[in-house]
Amino acid sequence: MKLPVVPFLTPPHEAISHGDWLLTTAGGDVALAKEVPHWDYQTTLELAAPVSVDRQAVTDACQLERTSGLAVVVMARSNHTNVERVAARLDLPMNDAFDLAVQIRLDGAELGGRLTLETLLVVTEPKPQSHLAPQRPGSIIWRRSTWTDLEGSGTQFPTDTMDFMTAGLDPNAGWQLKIDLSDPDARFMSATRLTLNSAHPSVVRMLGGVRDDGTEQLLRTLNWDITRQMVQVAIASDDVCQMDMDPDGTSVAAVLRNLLSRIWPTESTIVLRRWLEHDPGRIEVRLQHFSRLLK
Amino acid sequence: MTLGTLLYPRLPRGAARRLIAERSDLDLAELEALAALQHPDAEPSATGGHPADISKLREVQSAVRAAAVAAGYPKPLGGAIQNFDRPCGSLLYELMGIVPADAAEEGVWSFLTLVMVPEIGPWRFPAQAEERLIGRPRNVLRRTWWRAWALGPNLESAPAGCEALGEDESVQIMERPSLGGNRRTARALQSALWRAEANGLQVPRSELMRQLARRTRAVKSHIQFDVLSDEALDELLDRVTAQCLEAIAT
Repeated sequence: MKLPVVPFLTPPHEAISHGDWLLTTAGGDVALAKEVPHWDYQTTLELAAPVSVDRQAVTDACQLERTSGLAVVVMARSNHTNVERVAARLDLPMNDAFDLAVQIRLDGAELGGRLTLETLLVVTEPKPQSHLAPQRPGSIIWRRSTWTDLEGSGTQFPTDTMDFMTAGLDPNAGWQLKIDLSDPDARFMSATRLTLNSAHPSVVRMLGGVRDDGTEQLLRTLNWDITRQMVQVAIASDDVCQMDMDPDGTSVAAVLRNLLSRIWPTESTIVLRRWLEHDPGRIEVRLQHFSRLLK
Repeated sequence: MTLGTLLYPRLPRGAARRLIAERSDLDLAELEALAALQHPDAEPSATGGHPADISKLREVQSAVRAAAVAAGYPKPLGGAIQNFDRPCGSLLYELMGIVPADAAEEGVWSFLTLVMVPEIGPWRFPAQAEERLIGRPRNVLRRTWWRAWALGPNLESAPAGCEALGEDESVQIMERPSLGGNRRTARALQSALWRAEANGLQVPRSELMRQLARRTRAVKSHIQFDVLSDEALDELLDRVTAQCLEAIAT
C-alpha cells in the first residue's frame, strides 16, 4: 500500500495496536473475511475492532504536549461508488494508555465493490512542542487499512421485501411470487420477483440470519413453494412446454423449461401435463423430494 | 423523492455496444423514435430494492426530455451545455430514487442513455464518443446525477454574485475520487470557490479551481478534513485558495 509522506513527526508502530475487524452476524462475531457474500444495498454491516493507544508514547514521539487532543477515526471507502465517509470517531481520553472498542455500522446504500476501512490516529487539537510536531488540527499521524469485497459473484434469485399490510396484502402471508410470462423471451431476472413480507416476525427472523429449526424449516418451505409455483406455471404454459431444453437459456420460458428437465430429466412435457391433469399427487410427491421439503 | 431503493434495469456492455454500432448513422429524430422502456437483455439487480416500474421509467424519460427541450433540443447546445447538464442532474437525482450503489452501475446508465432516451447522448455529445453513451463515469447522464449527489442537489443555485459551477470546475472535483467521493469535502471546495469569487477574482475562476483541487488533494493526504468543524474546514480551504491565487499571480 502506498503511504503518504507527512510533513511532521509520527509515533512508533508499537504505540498503537489495532486488532482484526470482526463482523457481527446472527451466529456471533466472525473475523472479517476478504469477501462478504450475499451482501446487497439493503445490508447493514456491523463491525468492531479493538484499538489501543499509548498517549504518552504517541505525544512524546510526535513532540506534542501530552494534553493534545487525539482521536481515532475510521473512514469507509467504496471503490464501486467512490464514496468516502466517516464510519466512527472516538476522541481519546487523557489516560496514558487507553483501549477502545471501535464499533461501526455501515449502511449498504453507498457501498459495493471493495470496501476499504482505514483507521486513522488524528491530532484534533495539537499543542506542538517543536516545529517538527504536527501543527494543524486534523493531522494524520498513524493509519492502518483493511479491505473486503462486498457482493458475492453467484447468481441470486430476484427478491425484494415489502410490508404486506401497507401494500394491501394479507399481513399474515409470508411471501408472494410473481412470474410474468406475457413475454416468454423476457429475461427471467426481469420477469420474476419474489417479495417477502418484511413485517412478518418469522420472515424478519429469517432475513436477520437467525439459524434455528424454525428458520431452517421456513427456508425449506419457501424453496419448495417457489419451486412448486414455478412448475405449475411452466406446465400450464404452451410456450414453455413447446420448447426444447437449453442449459444456457436465460429467458423466463427457458429457465422454467430447464427447471422441468432438472426435476424430471426423463419425462416429456406432454407426460407432465397428463400427470398434472389426471394424477397431480405424482407431481407433488416428486416436488417435495426434489426441493428437500423435509429434513 | 430523493434517495430510495429503486433498482433500474442494467444493460450489459455487449448489448450497449451493439446498439451504439447499429445506430451510429441515425439522426436525432430517428433515435428518438427508437426509445423504449425495456430491453430484452436488461434486468435490474436481483436483490437490494424494488425494481422501478414502467411508470417510473416513463416519468424519468419524460423529465430528461423536458430538460433537453428547455435547453433547446433539437438545436445544437453550442456553448450552453450547462443549460442541460445542471437541471438534468438535479432532476435525475430528485426523481430516480436510486441509491448511490446502484447509480454506480454501468448498466443502469447504459440502459437510460441507449434505451430510454437514445437521442439525448448524441445531442449533448455530437461526437458520440463511446464513453459518453456507455454507462461509465463520464456517461452523459451518470455524471450529472453524481454531480447532484456531491455538489447539489440543486446544481443551478449559487450565492448572490456567484455563478454555479461550470463544466471544467465540476470535473476538477468529480474526477478526483478523494474530493468528489466525499460530499462534505466537495461542497466545502465549491463554497471556497464561491467565497473567492465573492471577494473579487482577478484570474479565471476555472484556473483557480484547477489549482485548488490539486492542492486540496495534496493537503488531504495528511490532514483529515472530517474531524474539522465547518468553520475550521472553511478556514483551511481559504488558506489553500490564497496560496493558489498567489501561485497563479506569479
